[in-house]
Formats: sequence, structure tokens, C-alpha cells
Amino acid sequence: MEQQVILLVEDNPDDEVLTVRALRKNNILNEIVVARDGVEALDYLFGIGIHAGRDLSRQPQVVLLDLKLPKLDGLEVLKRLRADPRTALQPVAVLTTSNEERDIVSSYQLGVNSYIRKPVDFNQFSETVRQLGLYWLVINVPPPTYG
Amino acid sequence: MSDPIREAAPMRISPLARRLVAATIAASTVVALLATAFQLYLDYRRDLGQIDATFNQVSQTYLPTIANALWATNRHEVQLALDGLKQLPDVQYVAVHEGATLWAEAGRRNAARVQSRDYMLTHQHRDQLLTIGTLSMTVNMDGVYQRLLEKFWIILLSNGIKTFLVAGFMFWLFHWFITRHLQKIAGFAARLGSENLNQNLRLDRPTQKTPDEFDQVVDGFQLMQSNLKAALEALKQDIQARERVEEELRQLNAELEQRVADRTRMLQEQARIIDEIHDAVISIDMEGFLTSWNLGAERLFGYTATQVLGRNSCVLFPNTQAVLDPQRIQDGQAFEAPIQRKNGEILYAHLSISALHNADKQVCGYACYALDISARKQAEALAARRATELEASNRELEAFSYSVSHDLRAPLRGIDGFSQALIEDCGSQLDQTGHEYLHRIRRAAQRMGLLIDNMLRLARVTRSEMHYTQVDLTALATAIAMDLQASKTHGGSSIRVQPGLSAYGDQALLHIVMENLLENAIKFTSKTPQPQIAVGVEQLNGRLIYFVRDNGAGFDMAFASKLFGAFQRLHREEEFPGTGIGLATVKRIIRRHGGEVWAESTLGKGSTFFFTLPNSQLADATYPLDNATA
Repeated sequence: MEQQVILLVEDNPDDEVLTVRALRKNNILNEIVVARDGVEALDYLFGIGIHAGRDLSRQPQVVLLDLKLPKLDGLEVLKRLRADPRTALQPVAVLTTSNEERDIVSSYQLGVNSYIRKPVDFNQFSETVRQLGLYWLVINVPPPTYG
Repeated sequence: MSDPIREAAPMRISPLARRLVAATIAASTVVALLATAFQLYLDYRRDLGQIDATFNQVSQTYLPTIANALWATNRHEVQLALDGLKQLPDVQYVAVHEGATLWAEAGRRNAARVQSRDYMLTHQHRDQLLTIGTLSMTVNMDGVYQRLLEKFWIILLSNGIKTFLVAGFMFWLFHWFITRHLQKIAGFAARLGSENLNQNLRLDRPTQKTPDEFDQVVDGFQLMQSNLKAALEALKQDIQARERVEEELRQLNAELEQRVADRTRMLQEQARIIDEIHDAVISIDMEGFLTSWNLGAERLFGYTATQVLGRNSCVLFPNTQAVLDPQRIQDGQAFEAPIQRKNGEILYAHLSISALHNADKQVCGYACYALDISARKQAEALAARRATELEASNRELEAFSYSVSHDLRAPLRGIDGFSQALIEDCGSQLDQTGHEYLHRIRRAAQRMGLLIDNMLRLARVTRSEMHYTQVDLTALATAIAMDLQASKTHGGSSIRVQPGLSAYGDQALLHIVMENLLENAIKFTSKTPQPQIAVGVEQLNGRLIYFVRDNGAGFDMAFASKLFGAFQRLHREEEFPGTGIGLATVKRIIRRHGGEVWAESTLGKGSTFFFTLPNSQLADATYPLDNATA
């Protein structure tokens, strides 16, 4: 069985490092693909642009999606994923700093699977990421692979 | 209207009978006179006849004697014969003439009324008849006339007496059989009125075998009376009906007059209202010319009625076409339009135009109600500008909050995360002081994160929309207490919540209020040996006052005014940690509900935080504090 991939969409390099560190420290050793803006994330998921020709049968086990992103923001990315039949069922967890109500509501309206707020306290953050990884990679049953 | 029945004139005694009698007497007298005259004439003729007979007798008896005596010239014998003639009744004078010579005579000629006759005295001598003389005889007519006169008086007297007697009898008869009944009838008829219509006419006479004219009159009277009765009854009913109708008519008239008066009063009142109404009320005819103008119009437009009546409404409305749009008038829509004052100033007015109809339901003009809304328009424009500004400012604030929420926290997480990474990865290279510093960096970062969160929450409390519902405060407070008790921050306080607490407000915001107040209470009782916290409600002057009471550290009332200001703290961080935003948030939420929040405290003995929610009903909080649960 192939290693499951995690797509981390994160523009802040600090957050990227801390997130990856937290995952690794919690023994989540899956491949982590990082997209640094919304366009890059879509390129990866649809196999276009810089990811042209990618094998689309291997989609991420979960997309960890920040909301505040350059070019296309996280909500727009989410909207496009849900609009395309190939990615309509893709598990997406918003992992963001914001706890603005409108972000939470919009995310769920667009069909997000989970909404997680990044705590400032790294210990809490680490714990959150551990649980996240455990849930999405081990506990959660993903939709059947397609494409 | 109704003449009193005229009494019959006092009756003289049977004037009718008297007239009848007089006529009878007159007629009888004429007839008697004629008869008397006729009789007298006959008597006169008879007397004349007797005289003629006397003359004939003379001629037959005495003439031969006298003629013989004359012939014989026996004067004595002639004288005897003449004396004999003289003895005949009424004979006054006899004389014999022989030729012209008086031969013998008897009596004297002394009466005026006489009749004379001359006879030829003849004598047969030898075959020759000789006239030998003339006998003249004069008869006195006085006797005849005297007799006639006597007869006349006798006849006249007897006829007069007879006539008088007959007339008297006739008078009595007439009176007895006719006039007294007529008088009675007349009296009865005169007395006959509506009140004695049932009384019958009865004549004072025996019953007749065959009914005569009087019986007919009596019958006629009875018939007339019964007819009169019927007519009177009908008349009475007619009159009653007429009176009823008249009464109804009077009432209708009175009602009508009342309505006319009311209507007039109403019209006057309306006219007065229209004139005194503050706003302009004007009317316009079909051609757009002004036909009426009240004081409000004078104030609004600046024209007096005399200045403007008869002029076209285009002097008032810069866009008359649009103002008098028939479709809009028909729809009855009020609208706003610019108007022009006399001094040229353009104002904005709220216009309501209604069609006026004549008796044939034809539109004959328009009534226009105009209200100056320039001030409102300005206020609206100002308000709109303010709203736009506020919206922009809100948008900015929102963008700012959003940005803070995202961008300000990320670096903190970096600081905290990498400090931890440093401890984990390079901890062995750091001494105790280095570790200490790193922990301080992390605490500072975390505190800043908390500050940012609280600030954002404070901002959100102001921005968010209110959703009013009936909130079960007891359940809310109990749930929060349980959450807090489960967390580490809880110092084992006893939290008693009064059952049945209810409030009308925004559930999410009230959650924040209770959370903050309970957090505070727990925090400030953390150093109290037996911490007691109570949540409940009091009534004061019909107002519901909710409270959260603790027996914690309390604060100096001198600083009470600072308590609810943002970032204001009355304790040092080391004593009781906090951001100084919680109570500011509480105040803002209570204020948004239109309520008040305040606190009372005694240093070292505890504090009570009170708040009111004006929309909450008194009946909502019903349970006394005694039944509170721990």
C-alpha cells in the first residue's frame, strides 16, 4: 500500500515549518506536499501548471488548507474543488489562524470537512496537529479513489 | 280652521207663514175687489135697468093718459099724472111741454147726477098721428149711487172679514203643519255637530200613515247623519294619518336640519382645519390653475392667496407635468418633488395629490397636500452619508480585525513555536537562564495571543448582529460553570445558580457575559478558603437585576469607575492574570441590550456584579434564591 499524501496549503514559511515539525514529532511520516498559494494547490489537485502530468489517481488523504493565501484564497480554492467532480469529495480540513465567524460559516457552506484553528501556544498546536493527523490518516475512511 | 257652528238667527214668529198669509190676503183682496166691482157693476146695471123699466112703465102707462089729458087740455089731470110720476122712485122732476111752452110740471131740478128722457106725446086724430107735446122726466141717480156705495161697503166688509179669517186659519195651519217643524229642523240642523251626530231628529207630531215630505226629511237627516258619521270617521282617520305623516315629516325635517347643521358644522370645521393645518393644502383645476390656498400653503410657498389664486400651478412646481401625472394620481401614491417658493428657493416637498370629482363623478380638479421635507431630506442625506461613512469605517474595522486575527497571531505562533523548538532541539546548549528566557518569550507570546483574541472578541461584540430570543440564563450559567469547573483554572469554587433565570437577549452575547463574569468570580476567589459564587436575580422597583456574587478578593470602590474600561486592571498580573478586556466586553454587550452593568465590592470580602436587561419580563424570574442548586 502506497504512503498517503498530505497536501499542506500554507503561505507562511514559519507555519509550514511548525506544522511539518508538529506532524513529524507526532510520528506522522506521510509524504507532505506543500503548496504556497491557492493556484499551486489547484495545480497539484488538478495536475496542471507546475504539476502538469501528475498522476491524479493518487490524491491527498487530506488537504490542510489555510484561508489567507496569496493569489487565490482558501475559500476560493475550496469552492473550485467542490465544483469539480474529480475533487468534489476530496477531504479538506481548514487549518487557519482566524476564528472569524464568517470564515467558519463560509467554509462549512462550501463543504469543508473540518475547521481547525491554529492555537498560538505551540504545545497546544502540536497536540492539535497530532489529533488531526491521527484522525484523517488513521481513523477517517476516505472516499474511493477515482480518476 | 273650523268655524264654530253658526247658531240659527232668532226666529220671528213664522215669517214664512206671515208671508204666505200676506200673499193670500193680497190675492184674496184683489179677487174680492174684482168680485165686488163685478157685483157692483151688475147692481148698477140692474138699477139702470130698473130706471129704464120705470121710464118704460111711464111710457107705456102714463104717456097715453097724459097725452089724452093734454089733448083734452085737462090741465088738472095732466098735473095728477105728473104728480103720480113724481111719486115713482128716484123721479125728481117731470114736465110737459107743448112745443116750447111749459105746460105742467112736478118736482124740481136740483140734483147734479140726473138722467133725463123726453117722450113724445102723441094723439091719434083721424088717421093722423099728431105730436101734441113732450114729456120730460128727470130721474135722480143719487139713490142709485147711494145704494151702490152701501153695497160696496157691505161686500167689502164681508169679504175682508172672510179673508182675514181664512188667512188666520191658514196661518195657524201652516204653522202647525209646516213652519214649526221647519223651525225644529232648522234648530236641529243648527245644533248638529260632531258630538251629537247620534241624536235623531224627531218631529213633534203623530206618526203619519203614509210618509210625507217631513218623514223624507227626517229619513234624509238620518241618512245624512250616518253619512256624515262615516265621513267624519274617515276624516278623523285621514287627519290622524295626516298627522302621523306630518309628525314623520317634522321628524324627518328636524333630522334633515340636524344633518344639515352637522354637515355645515363639519364643513366649517374642515375648512378651519384645512386653513389651520400646518402643511399646505391647495386645489388645482383641470387646466392646472390654482383654485384654493390655505395658510399652510402661504407659509410653504410664500405667496398669499390673493397673489397666487388663478395662476398656474407651474409657478409652484418646476416639473408640473410629473406632479400632475394622472396615473400616479389615480394610484393615490404620495411622492416627493421639488417645489419653488416665491423667492425662487427650491424646497423638497412630500406631495399627495387626489382627484376631485364633481356631482357626475367626473374629475374636475385636484387637491394637493404638500409637506416641506427639506429638513428631512437634508437629515436623510446626512444620515445616508453617516451611514456610508459608518459602513466604510465598519468595513475597515472588519478588515482590520480580520487582518489582526490572521496576521498578528501567525508571528506569535512563530515566536512561541520556535522558542519551543529551540528548547526541544537546542535545550542542552542552554543554561537555566536561557531556558527561563525562552519560557518568558513563550508566555509573552501566549499572553499577546490572548490579548488579541479578547480584543477581537470585544470588536466582534460591537459589530455582530443581535438575535433576540428568550435565554435560559440558569442553563447557560450552569453549563459555563461546569465547563470552568472542568478546566484547570477553576479553584474549586462552589457556584450556585438560581433556577428559572430567564432573560430576553442574544444567546451568544449573554454567553460571553456570563462566561466573563463567572471567570472573573472564579479568578478572584482562587485565593479564598471557601469560595462561594452565586448567580441570581433581584427585583428592585419592578426592575429585574441579575447578579453574579463572589466572596473573593474584591476591589476598592474608589476605582469602580475604571472597572469596565478596556485594558483597565485593578490587580497585578502576578496576583490575578487577565487582559482587562473581559469586563469591557461585558459592558459593551449589556449596553447593546440597552441595559446597565455595575459592581459593588468590599476589598477582601467579595464583589457583586449587577446587570439589567430591559427587555426581560418580570415574570421570567420566578424562583427564589433559596432553591438554588450547588
